[in-house]
Amino acid sequence: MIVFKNVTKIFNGYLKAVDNLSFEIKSGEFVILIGKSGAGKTTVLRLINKEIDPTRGEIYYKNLKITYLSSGKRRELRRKIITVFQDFKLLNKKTVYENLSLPLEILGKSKREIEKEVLRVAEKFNLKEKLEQLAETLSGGEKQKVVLARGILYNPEVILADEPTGNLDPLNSLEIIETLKKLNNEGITIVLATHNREVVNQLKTRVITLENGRIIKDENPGSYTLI
Amino acid sequence: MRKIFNIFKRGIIEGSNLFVNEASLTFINIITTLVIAFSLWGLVFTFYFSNSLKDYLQNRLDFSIYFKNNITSEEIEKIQKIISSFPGVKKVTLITQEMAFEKLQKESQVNPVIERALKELKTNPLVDYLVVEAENSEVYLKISDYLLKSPFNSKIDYLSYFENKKIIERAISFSNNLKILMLGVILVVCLFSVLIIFNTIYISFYSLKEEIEILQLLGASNWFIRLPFLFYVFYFTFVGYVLFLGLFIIFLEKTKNFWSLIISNFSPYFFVLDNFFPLNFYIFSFIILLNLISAFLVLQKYFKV
Repeated sequence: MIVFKNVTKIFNGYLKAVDNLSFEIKSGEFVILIGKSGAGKTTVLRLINKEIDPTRGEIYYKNLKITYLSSGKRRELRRKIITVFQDFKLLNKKTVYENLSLPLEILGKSKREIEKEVLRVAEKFNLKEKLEQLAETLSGGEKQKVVLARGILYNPEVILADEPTGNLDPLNSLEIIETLKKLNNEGITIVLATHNREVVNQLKTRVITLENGRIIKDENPGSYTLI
Repeated sequence: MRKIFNIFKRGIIEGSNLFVNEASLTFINIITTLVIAFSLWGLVFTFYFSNSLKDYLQNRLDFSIYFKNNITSEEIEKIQKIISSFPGVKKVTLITQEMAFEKLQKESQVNPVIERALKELKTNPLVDYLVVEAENSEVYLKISDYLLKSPFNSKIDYLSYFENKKIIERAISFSNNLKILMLGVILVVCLFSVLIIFNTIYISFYSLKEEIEILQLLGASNWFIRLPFLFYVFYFTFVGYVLFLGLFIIFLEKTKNFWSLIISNFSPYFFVLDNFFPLNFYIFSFIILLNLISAFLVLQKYFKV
């Protein structure tokens, strides 16, 4: 589904964030990217969702070359590949309902359709009681759930999660990981970047270890070494 | 079609939300609009003032053709007809020797020296002359050129144009220079307006950078992101201009009688009253266009999707 072929990303002409990276993520997989800060995890995710373009190499999504995309194609891609961030990226001055409405408004849905869809997703993520609350008043775990719920409204094929538990306590972290697992069971491909050992140990899934922008280990589910 | 309508509707609503939620930025933008509206109206008035001043001066300048005694009344009539046919000539009045004398007698009643001199003379020392009124002083130049080259030149004693020539030329030159200066000022003001608006809008939008980035990450289209900002620009420009109009009307009312004391034919109050809709339409359109172009440039340059 996602293929990297000798991808290199150099920032400011000298900072090599990703170095000759090659890997493939199959449809429906749950892949964890681990590594220390600066290992290149976030850069990989940014390269997938086309926030940045590679310096060298090729990137494919469903056999389609996405190395360089026009702004229109980039927009389309971001509705199929959604991203969850550590800092949530919610509109804090807006209510949960308004935040959840955004993807549907972008798609040009009517008020009635938006209401129906938002309620469905809010129920799925246990957010029904919070709909009228301002996003800034939510707890970290709730915020992350809103971000996931917002992304789900696009019916995405891939979720890129960049340290989604970074700002959360262990209980909320567990809840988010469980939610991601559930979504993966529904057929959504998940790429999770983290340096949280507990999360890695808990999820029995494929783990790609990065160091200095290179893959140093790519372990299949069940064969990974506990950290 | 429905999608476009929904995005448009969202733009209107979100634009008004921005207007209310970003109160301090809205205030700054309204003040900027107000200042620009004042500057533009100031320029309109300067133009109007320079034209009024020119008219005022021209109405006080006349152009007279004084004839020698050897000219016949038929020849004077002929010259009068020729001059009347000049483009821009409003009126050519013949003042005969007798009429001129009568006028002088009347005027001399208040001046005993002239009165005594006239009595001593016993004959009429004055000559026939034509008084020409034209739309502008350039016409006088053409008439004078024509007369000096015509066969009537020998019958002409002198042209009063030459007495007033310096004043006329100065008036024309002053008026023309004032207009050129004003055009320059307009260009500078426009340039500064664009810079001020561009920067104010840039600061406004920069504070909403995170929101824009989130929308970009969600795959929102350019228009989905831009429309609320463009509506926001329309709202604060509109409110700013309405506020300006209120203050402007109060200013005109309060100074209604003052301006005519400077120049009798300069009356901004009636000038605005006569041109209220077209002038406001042009100035408001100009400001809104300026603001929208600035907003568009800011979005295009700094918040490209």
